[in-house]
Amino acid sequence: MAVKIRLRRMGSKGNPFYRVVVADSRYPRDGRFIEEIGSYDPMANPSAVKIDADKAKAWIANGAQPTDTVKAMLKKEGIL
Amino acid sequence: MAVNPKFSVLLDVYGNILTEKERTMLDYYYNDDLSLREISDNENAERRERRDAGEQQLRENDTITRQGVRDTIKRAEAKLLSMEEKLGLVRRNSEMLQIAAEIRKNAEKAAVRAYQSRAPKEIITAASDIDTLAERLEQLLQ
Repeated sequence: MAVKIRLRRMGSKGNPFYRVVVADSRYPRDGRFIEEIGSYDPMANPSAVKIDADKAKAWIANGAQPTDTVKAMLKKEGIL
Repeated sequence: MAVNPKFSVLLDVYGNILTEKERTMLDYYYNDDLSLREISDNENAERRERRDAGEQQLRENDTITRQGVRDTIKRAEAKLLSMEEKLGLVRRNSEMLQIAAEIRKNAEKAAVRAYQSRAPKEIITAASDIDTLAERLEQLLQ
């Protein structure tokens, strides 16, 4: 059972906003996730990334796989 | 920018012109951050379940590949882009939002200045009315 760190879209129509969540890869749709570790607002200028670095590192050390987009964000934030 | 929210927004506005399959896959891809592989795996698992539940039309080898998902997504993206090129609703909306914000900023400034300089009450009321109207416009556009 793979655990992933991925973005999940929230926000209203035409106004996206994302949560960074730790979730089981098999249940992407039902909205269940294990933990929320950050947020990402692409509409802010410049785009605003907030990630709990300790939690992200701990999850990755425990084998959680960040998606490519999340990986890029972690790198940009200097967490990876 | 790590994620391009462009297609996410286009999907909000023009999603209804896509087929259900295209819409679902784009939703998985852009709103749930699933990989192409994950989308095809989920889709195949779902088809397997439906087949096991006795659905006749689905045959044993009726599966979708990662490449198939990619083709579907690319085709759907092209449809969304062509819609935006023809109608430009997303661009217009964001321009109107910017203008509404600008109107509010100026109306607030005018109201404050009118108050400070003891201008007639109608001027202050008019300025704050403009602010309220622009705020309603903002809400309509969002």
